[in-house]
Parts: sequence; structure tokens; C-alpha cells
Amino acid sequence: MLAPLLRDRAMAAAAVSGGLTSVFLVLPLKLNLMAAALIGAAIGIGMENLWPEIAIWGVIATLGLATFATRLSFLALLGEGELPLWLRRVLHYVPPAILAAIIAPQLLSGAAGLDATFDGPRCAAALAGFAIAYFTRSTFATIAVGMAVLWGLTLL
Amino acid sequence: MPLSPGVLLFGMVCGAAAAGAGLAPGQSFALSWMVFAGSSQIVATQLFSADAPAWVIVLTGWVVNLRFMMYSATLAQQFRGASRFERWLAGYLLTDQAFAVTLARVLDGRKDIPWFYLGIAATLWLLWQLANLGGIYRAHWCPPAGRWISSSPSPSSACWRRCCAIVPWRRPPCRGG
Repeated sequence: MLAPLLRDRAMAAAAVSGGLTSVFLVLPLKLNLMAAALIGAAIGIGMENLWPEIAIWGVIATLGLATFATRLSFLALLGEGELPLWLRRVLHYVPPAILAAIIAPQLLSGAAGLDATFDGPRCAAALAGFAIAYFTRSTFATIAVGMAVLWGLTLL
Repeated sequence: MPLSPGVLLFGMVCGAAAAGAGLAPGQSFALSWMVFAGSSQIVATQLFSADAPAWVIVLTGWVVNLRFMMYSATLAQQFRGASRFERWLAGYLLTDQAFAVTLARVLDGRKDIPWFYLGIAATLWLLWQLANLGGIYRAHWCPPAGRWISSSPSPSSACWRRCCAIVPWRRPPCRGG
């Protein structure tokens, strides 16, 4: 009886929202059926008129939630207790690999992948910064020298 | 903080790109605070303007952000024993820059990591939202995208063109580590 009605998106959305409403909204005297009808109809009308808008919002919200879930993954799961040994061994090598991966693409210019070429000033600044950091262990000196080299060479 | 110029610049580019792709100001800003990741925002923006299917936009934007899972795993060790609220906040605020700066401090052997991280990450969040708002409004009162290049060359428009030339896969021009 329901299936033939679901001809388009608006109908499907009306059905889904009506169904959810009747299940989760607890009202006496079967008022939840009335509420489901009203809400389902409102959402159907809304979908009919505003579909592109709703689709864009849906994509943004889904991407946002997926990104949040990715960021939260280990922070939420492993917030308590010990990490297993194998995971700690793996994670031991993650920081240098990640930091290099963050920095390396910024030293290149042009297209990504094999077509990229080294960006002279940026590489020089990175090398100077690396040398300063290695010998002085000072973050500020590293940034100051690195930026000085970068700006100096860019202005030349 | 030495990271701020890069963050501000990239945030303005992202906001302007979203607005230029035809997203409403509210939608552009939603990208900024819901997704809160520059490269992913740019990718999603480009796919929006190319009329890509919804699942392609979500999947591509998400794959760009998979690196956060590794950051999350590394940070989780520092946040062991922190309250659930702190861990969820830390997750929402996680970015390349906040992670890199915090990791450098961890490797220095400092103990105050959770508060240091939350302070840095919250500051970066605020800068990012302001920069995106700036970019969105700049794009809405400037001439439409195609005309920037042919308009009379003022210093600011030349600078702006250079900002827009940043390729999507490149992170903001700041020294991460």
C-alpha cells in the first residue's frame, strides 16, 4: 500500500519523516499519527520547493559529521585505559612521518605528483630553518631565520 | 603566533571560493564551522560548482580529511584521563597546525599538553571562522569571479588573484613544524 506512493524524493521524505515521528514522538490518544501526518506533509512540501537547497545543506552537514567522526575516532575510543602495545609501536613512527608529510608538499611548486618542481626560496628557507633548529633547538630562532631567508630570496 | 597570517589568508580564500561557487553566505559559513578543514572545504567547493553528485562531494571531502584519524590517534595518548567533554572538544578543534605545534611540544617533553593544545586549537578555530567570514563578505561585495582578472590592476586585486591561485591540495603557506 505504501510502496506505490513512493514515486519521488519528496514522497519518500514525507514517508520517512512521518514514520520516524510516529515512532519517536510519544503522545496520548494516537495524536502522534496526526503529528506524523502534519510533519510528513510539511517536509514533503518543503522538499518539493527547496530540494537543491536541502541537498546542499545535507552534503555540508554529512561532510562535517564525517570529518568530526574522523577527528574524534581515537580521541573518543582510547580516552581511557592503555593502548595496546602494537598500536603504540605503530604510533611511535607516525609523528615524524606525518610532520614530514605536512611540510614536504609546501617545498614544491607547480602541479602535484611527479610534475612538481622544487621551490627554490622555500627549500632554502627550510634548510636554513632545519640547521638552526638542529643546533639551537629554539623555535623562535628557527622561524625568524627561516622567514628571513624566505622573504629575502623572494624579494630578490 | 607565527601561524596566523597563513591561516587568515587561507581562510579568506576558502570563504571567498565557497561564496564564488554560488553557495549562500550561510552555507559557505557552514562549510567553515562544520567541516573546518581548508583543503576539504576547497575540494567540496569545487565539486559543488562542477555539479558533482552528493556522494562524490562527501566522499572526496572526507578522504582529504582521513589524515585527522592519525592525528587523533597520536593526540589520544595525551588526552588519556581527560573528561569526555575535553576529548570531544579536542576532536572538533583538531587541525594540521594545532596538531603540529602540539606535537613539537610533546617531543620537547612538556607535560601541560591538553591545555596547551586546547588553547592553540581554539585560537586557530576563531581565526579560521573570522577569515572565512571575511572571505565570504569580500566575495559578495566584489565583482563576480571572472571579472577580477580583467578589472583595473590595483595592488589589492593583484594580491587577491595570487591568493586564489593557491592549488587545492596545497596547505596554507605557513611553516607547520
